[in-house]
This record gives sequence, structure tokens and C-alpha cells, in this order.
Amino acid sequence: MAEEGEGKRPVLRVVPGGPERGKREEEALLAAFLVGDDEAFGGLVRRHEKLVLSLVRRYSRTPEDARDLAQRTFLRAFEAARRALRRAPHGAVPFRRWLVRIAVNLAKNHVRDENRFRMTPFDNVEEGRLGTEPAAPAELERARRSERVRRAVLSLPRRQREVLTLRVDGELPFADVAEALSITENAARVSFHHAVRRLRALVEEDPQ
Amino acid sequence: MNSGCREVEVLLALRAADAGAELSEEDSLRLDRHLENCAACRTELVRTRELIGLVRLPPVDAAESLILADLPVRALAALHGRDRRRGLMRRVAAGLAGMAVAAALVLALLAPALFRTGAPDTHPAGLATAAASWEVPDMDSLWSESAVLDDSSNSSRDTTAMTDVVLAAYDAGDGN
Repeated sequence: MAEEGEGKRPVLRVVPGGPERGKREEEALLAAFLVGDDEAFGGLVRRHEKLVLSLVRRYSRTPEDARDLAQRTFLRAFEAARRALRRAPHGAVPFRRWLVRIAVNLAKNHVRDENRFRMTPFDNVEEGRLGTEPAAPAELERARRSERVRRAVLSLPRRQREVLTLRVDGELPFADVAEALSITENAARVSFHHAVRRLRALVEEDPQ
Repeated sequence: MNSGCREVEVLLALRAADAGAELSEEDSLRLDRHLENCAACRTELVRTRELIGLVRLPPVDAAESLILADLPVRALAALHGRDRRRGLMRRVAAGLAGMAVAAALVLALLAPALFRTGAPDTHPAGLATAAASWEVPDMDSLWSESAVLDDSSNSSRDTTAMTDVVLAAYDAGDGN
């Protein structure tokens, strides 16, 4: 197909260096994706899959669950990018920011729709690990404490939970956390502090 | 906890989350100075670091990464599937719209023929012909042809005859 051929033109992949390199690479990949380049799609997914999976893992009971949530996140972001680039072919598409935002919203809806708080996320993974290998008492105790803390994370107020998980799971700078949640950077920092305080209180209230 | 501790508690949480590099130089120095003189906050920093460590999910193991590895392929397949479904839906919608337009056109063409059957001819050409052939009638002949006077005289005669018959019958009755 002529269009596909054009989409795979080297000019879309040759990217000059500099501080904007990553952004330009991403724009080139998005442009190639828009003209039907499947390779570009794969490149974009591989570029961001670690971040997206790290954000949705906490809300998933199984790895398959996490993969499905990540897949939905990518599809929605691609649809949004496709619409935006069709409307304004030279407009900026903050793809990574959209991914983070969509992942946060999907995770929130996933938690709301299904009663998944009964089981701490990835408990089965942890149980499997502990079940197959003889664990030292200290390790076992740490695993139990970790389980309690992760359960407490899910019962934090939404904003605090989002800030905490974007920072801890996604390892995002507070500027990016703020951007993803449409709040100020200072508000993100203060929410993080409140999340830590509240988390400690919750864990101390529930020693089991 | 004193007021000095409260002033740096947000900074302390940020440093515990390994976000120290995101602090301004001024904030970082302020926190360092406070920590040098405050054992409670140093303990708090260690406890917060430990708590955040417990928040972290276990790392992805081999079995999990195997499941997650096919995300790009699956996502691409899902995208193509969605595009195909949308294309099909668009074609079906376009087909239905075309059929609706065709039906409307056929109806528009057939409707006059269906609904005008047996109706009076109101065609302008027919009206023009009728108007052209119309003549002013002769009023005298119309008057005489109507036989209004004749009917009137007949009616008067009949009435008189009937009156005579009734009176004769009455007289006869009185005679009896």
C-alpha cells in the first residue's frame, strides 16, 4: 500500500539528537503509527510498557489482569492520539502523559467495579513464592507486613493513593505526577506527605 | 515534634521517597541542618523509608514477565480487530443509509401516481380547454326549458282539483 510505504519512510525514524530527542522520537513513531506502521505501534508500546504495567499492577489480581489493563490503556491512548493528530496533524500529543492519566483512571474504575480489595494485589504471586521456597521467619514477617501495607494503600483516599502510587510504582518525578493529575507540584508533594502519614496510621491500626 | 520538625516534615517525606534531587538547594540545606540537630526526625526518616519500601510491589518474576511479554503483539491485534469492526460497522451503516435514500426516492416517484388515481382532473391544460369552450347561455331559452311556469300552473290545478274532491266528500258525508 502506498500509504503504508510512506509511513515507513526513513525520514520518520531519523531523529536528530539533543534534549528533545525522546520527544521527537515519540512524535515520529506516532506519525508513523497514524499512517499504518505496525512497527511504530510496537515501538511505542515497548517504550512505555514498563511504566504502564508498573501503574496497573497494583490494581490487578493476576499478571493476565495487569496485561489486560495495560492493553486497554494503550488502546485508549492510541485512539486519542489518532483523533488528535487527524484533527491537528502538527499538534503536540503528550502521549506519555495521556498514558499515565488513562492508566490511573482505568485502575480507579477497575477497583470500583470489582470487589478486589478482599485480596491484596499480587497476593497470589507472593503466596506462591512463599509457598514454594522455605522462607526465613524474618522474611515471612516482612512479607506479611508488606501485604498489610499494600492493603492499606488501597484504602487511602483517592488523591493520596494516586500520588503515592504514581511516585512509588511509576517512579515519576513530582512534576509529572502533578501534570498527570492536573494539580500543582506543591499539592502533589503535600498529598504524598499526607499519604505516608495516613498509611502509617492505617498500618498501626491494623496490626493483623 | 516541635515547630521546626513540622516545617520540614513534607521535605522529609520527599527525601524518604528518593525525591531528594527534586528539592531545591535551599530546601535540601534546610532539611540537612534540621536532621543534624534532631534525632526524632532522623528516626522518622528511617521509618518512612522503610514504610515506602513496604509499599513497593514485589519485582516482576520470570513467570510474570512471560505473561506480560506479549503485550505489544496483543495490543496490536486488539487495535486491528477494533479497526476491522469499526470498518464493518461503517460499511453497514453506509449500506443502510443508501437503502434508505433509494427507498425515499422510489416513494417520491411512485407516490403521485398512487395517490392521484380517480381524483378530478385539475391539470391546468384541462382547465384552460374548458374555459376556452365555455359560452354564455341564452337566458330566455333556459327559462322556458326550466318549465317553471308550467309546473306552477299544474300544481295550482292539482290543488284546486284536490280541494273540489275533498269538499264533495265532505258534502256527501253531511248528506248522510
